[in-house]
Amino acid sequence: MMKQSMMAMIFTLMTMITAMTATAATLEEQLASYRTQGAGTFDPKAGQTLWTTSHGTDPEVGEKVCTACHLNDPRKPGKHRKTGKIIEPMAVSVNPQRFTDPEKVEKWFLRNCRQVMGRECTPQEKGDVLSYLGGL
Amino acid sequence: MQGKKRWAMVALSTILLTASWAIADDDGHKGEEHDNNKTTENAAPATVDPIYVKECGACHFPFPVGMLPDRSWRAIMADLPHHFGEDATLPEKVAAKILDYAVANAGERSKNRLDRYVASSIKADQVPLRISEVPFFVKEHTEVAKHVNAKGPVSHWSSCPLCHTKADSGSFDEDEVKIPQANK
Repeated sequence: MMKQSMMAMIFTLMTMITAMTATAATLEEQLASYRTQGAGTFDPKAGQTLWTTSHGTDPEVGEKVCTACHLNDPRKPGKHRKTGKIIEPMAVSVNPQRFTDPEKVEKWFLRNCRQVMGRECTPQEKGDVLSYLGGL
Repeated sequence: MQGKKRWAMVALSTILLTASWAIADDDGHKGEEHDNNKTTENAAPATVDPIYVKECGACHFPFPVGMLPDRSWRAIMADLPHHFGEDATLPEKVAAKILDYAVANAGERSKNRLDRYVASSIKADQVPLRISEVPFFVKEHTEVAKHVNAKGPVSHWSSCPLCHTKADSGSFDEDEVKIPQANK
């Protein structure tokens, strides 16, 4: 009897832990965190402009623009221009896994903003891009 | 009694089959050891670090770390913001874990005999940052170098699995090589 109730308790605990870790961050939470960092209202149009604006050419890797690897249409899969690795679509409508892991989002914004724009993106810019990719 | 006999037969044939596999697999790899990790002469360790695969494999084939020496991995991991022209910055803790894994299994310390030989054959003052710069790699790929070019289906040396059909499981045996041909 004792053993059974112990088992039931362990099972309940396990279920709770699973439920907690399975709760992924939503795009809305991501945007809210940018607002707390000083961003205002997000504009998908501004995000699209950022997505397609070229910042010149790097002699080693080529044109500095998001679409060099992610394509103009974020609903389609892109391709890493050097390694050829397929990059799954960035648009949330076709790839709901996107932007559910805040650490991953920040890791890639840090790398890619520095790569493309030569500096880190502001919370406003990140939010604009996410609202563009989230609203397609 | 009958059942016991049958089990003995099954056990015996299993041993025989395993032994013949070991002998067949040893073809051309004299004195190769078959330990629990199934390390063969051209294979990477069976246990590949999941963080290494997740982070490095996000952009390119997660190369077997035994193919470069300790000093190469330290140099690569020390300059992730300029990683072959790309910004590959990682959070410090993650980068430190990957470096630990890479140096613990680097050429000099690899369980793989070939890795150790290759590492020892690199001149002490050289720090190759690409596996494709290692003299052994260059020598082994002389014949096929013409197939690796910007126009072909294999545009970069980094695309190991395009030709090495079992690269994903850490095996680079010559018998498993199949070079993709361009569509004419």
